[in-house]
Amino acid sequence: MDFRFDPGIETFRAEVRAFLADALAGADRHADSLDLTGLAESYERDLHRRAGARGWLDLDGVRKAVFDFEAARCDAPLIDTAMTLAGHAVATYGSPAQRGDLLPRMATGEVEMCIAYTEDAAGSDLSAIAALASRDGDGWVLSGHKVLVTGAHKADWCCTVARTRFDVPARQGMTMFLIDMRTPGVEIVRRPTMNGWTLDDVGFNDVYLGPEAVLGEPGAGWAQLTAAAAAERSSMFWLGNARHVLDLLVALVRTGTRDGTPLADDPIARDTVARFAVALADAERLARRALWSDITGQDDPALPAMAKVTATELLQDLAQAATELAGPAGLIWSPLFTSDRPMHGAGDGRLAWEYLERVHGTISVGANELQRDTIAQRGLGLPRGR
Amino acid sequence: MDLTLTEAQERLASDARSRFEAGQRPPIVDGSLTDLVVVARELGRAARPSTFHTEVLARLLGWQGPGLAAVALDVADGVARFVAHGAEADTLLVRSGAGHVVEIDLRGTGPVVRPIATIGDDGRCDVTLGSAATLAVLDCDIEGAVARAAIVLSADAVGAAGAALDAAVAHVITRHQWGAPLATLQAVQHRCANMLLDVTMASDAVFDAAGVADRGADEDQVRLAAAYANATAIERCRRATASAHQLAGGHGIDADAPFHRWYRRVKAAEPVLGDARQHRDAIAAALLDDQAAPSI
Ligand SMILES: Cc1cc2nc3c(=O)[nH]c(=O)nc-3n(C[C@H](O)[C@H](O)[C@H](O)COP(=O)(O)OP(=O)(O)OC[C@H]3O[C@@H](n4cnc5c(N)ncnc54)[C@H](O)[C@@H]3O)c2cc1C
Repeated sequence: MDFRFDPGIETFRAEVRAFLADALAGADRHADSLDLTGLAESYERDLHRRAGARGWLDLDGVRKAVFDFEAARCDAPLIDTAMTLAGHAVATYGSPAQRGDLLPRMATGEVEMCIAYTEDAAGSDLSAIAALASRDGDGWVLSGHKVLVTGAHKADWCCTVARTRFDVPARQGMTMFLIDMRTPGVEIVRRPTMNGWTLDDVGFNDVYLGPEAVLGEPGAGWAQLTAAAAAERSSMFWLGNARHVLDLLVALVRTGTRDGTPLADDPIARDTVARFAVALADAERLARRALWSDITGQDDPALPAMAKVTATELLQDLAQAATELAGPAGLIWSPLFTSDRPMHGAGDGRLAWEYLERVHGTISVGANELQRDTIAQRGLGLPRGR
Repeated sequence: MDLTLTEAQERLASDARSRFEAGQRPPIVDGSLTDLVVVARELGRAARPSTFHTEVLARLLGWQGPGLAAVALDVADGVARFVAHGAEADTLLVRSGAGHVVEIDLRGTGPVVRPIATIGDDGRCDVTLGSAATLAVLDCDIEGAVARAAIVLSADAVGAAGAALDAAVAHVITRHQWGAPLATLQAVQHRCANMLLDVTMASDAVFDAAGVADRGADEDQVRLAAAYANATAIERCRRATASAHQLAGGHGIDADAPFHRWYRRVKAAEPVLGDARQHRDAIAAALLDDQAAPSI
């Protein structure tokens, strides 16, 4: 058994790292802490175009996973790209016109996308979606209110889902739509999260959509949604984050002191570092197993769930342990990018940022409780719950 | 990347499985460390008392004699403590002051072997060497042998934990309370999910480490891989076998129920060939004490 990637992949990784190191030099001057990426939209778009020109927004399989890992590891704003968020849905369900118009521009970084499924009353249970698209001639009129949307404020297009029939069960009565964000009636409200950046509310106020806005089949929204969610991303980007934080933890213990004693001489600090190195190695193998299952067509449905749970919980534990070891310096907060970092912050203020940030990984992209249901039912064959 | 076993390794596993079902000894394995790992995993699943791990360590130390050589690398004041299968062994391998391994005769009148009551099934003994005769001196890499044996022992724990998971799953699917299988309860499902996570990550760590050794990596890489594997596998497998007990309920502690055999087997593997704390010490040293930038 060999968990190593092929040498060609490692060459690719080195190329990505070199590109990103160069591209992100000076990023602090383009900080925007209201955006999830920590960077200004113009800077992000420029980077997307540069990565797109190399074909790197349209990767799949192992290269995609390695790219995500390296991008996350250095905080490059290349995680929530249009291709990652909506590429699968557009490519799989798009009409020839939608594919021809959008996919090439998503791949070159010309078009940014958001996905807006969640509603106030429809979180984990998307069958409760109440946004309504009613027939209007050939087209539709959409009204509804989506919440917790990543990056709507900078998206050109939105992929969403609404009820189109109420006389059938929810799973047969939903339809997906692709919406130009400039369409009249689309309204965005940015809500600051606890870590400074915003998630967005998206209001659809009697938005008129032509027939060409339907993505896939009317009524097939539920099935499409489930497939798109499964394809959204591998867990590799979380592990890129985790590697970054482990590196910060190692640096902290190598150089830090506690009550005048070097942390590197503190057996508990040493054991903590080793525990997380072991846990990260475990999580990386698991993510590779999920990837292997994907690229060899085995598609074990439990493995992506296992990798997601493991990576997101590791990130939380890591942030909590690192800030504990850092003592008061672990409370000093800095946004991801800034030209004005606070003094004396652990990891330059990054560890406190991590502590707040890692709360949501276990909730978003399918909460871990639901992932564990999947692991038990699909991985071990247990029956559906009561 | 290739995360499959070869056909030959799959055959080795199924051969070992049928041998254990028939009450026979493990197959003789002369191949790679991964081959040994494959057999050890089946041995752990079957939870059979066996001198297999003692034989593996002796062979890794370069011993080739007939009979059974027990291993007690560290002897203090003429007493080798906690020697696995000491009472069955013909000879004993101990570390000499010069860093060699010497083989000592246990069958003569000198040595006194005293069995110890442990919760494991690997025949631990204290051996007072007395005037035992030295039979041979083996020139070998002791640390390398111990690292490899630790990988194989971890595979045994993985087998035990995997079998405990399977038995627990079978139990919660068939056992009804409140008119439905226990398996329909989310708390039960999530415990099972955690067990699958533990068993999967333990197994992958062990097979990864065996692969590192088989591909002829530097010895310090092999030792580090063994440390990663053993540190994670034993802890995860212990947790999984304990969870199996919880799911099995009261009758799970019956002596003729299988669960305790896996639970105690993992525990018995825990303090030997370097425990998790020692392994993490080594990992911390690699990350924190090198002058060079750390790399895992
Ligand atoms: C950072 C972030 C980015 C996001 N980006 C997007 C986006 O771009 N587009 C979008 O549409 N949505 C997005 N979301 C929303 C996300 O998909 C939802 O938060 C998620 O689906 C959970 O829904 P909820 O928040 O309503 O929590 P709820 O569903 O109310 O869950 C609350 C708690 O109850 C638990 N729970 C729920 N159901 C069960 C169950 N059956 N069994 C056991 N426990 C259960 C959950 O696990 C969770 O712990 C984002 C969320 C976050 C935090």
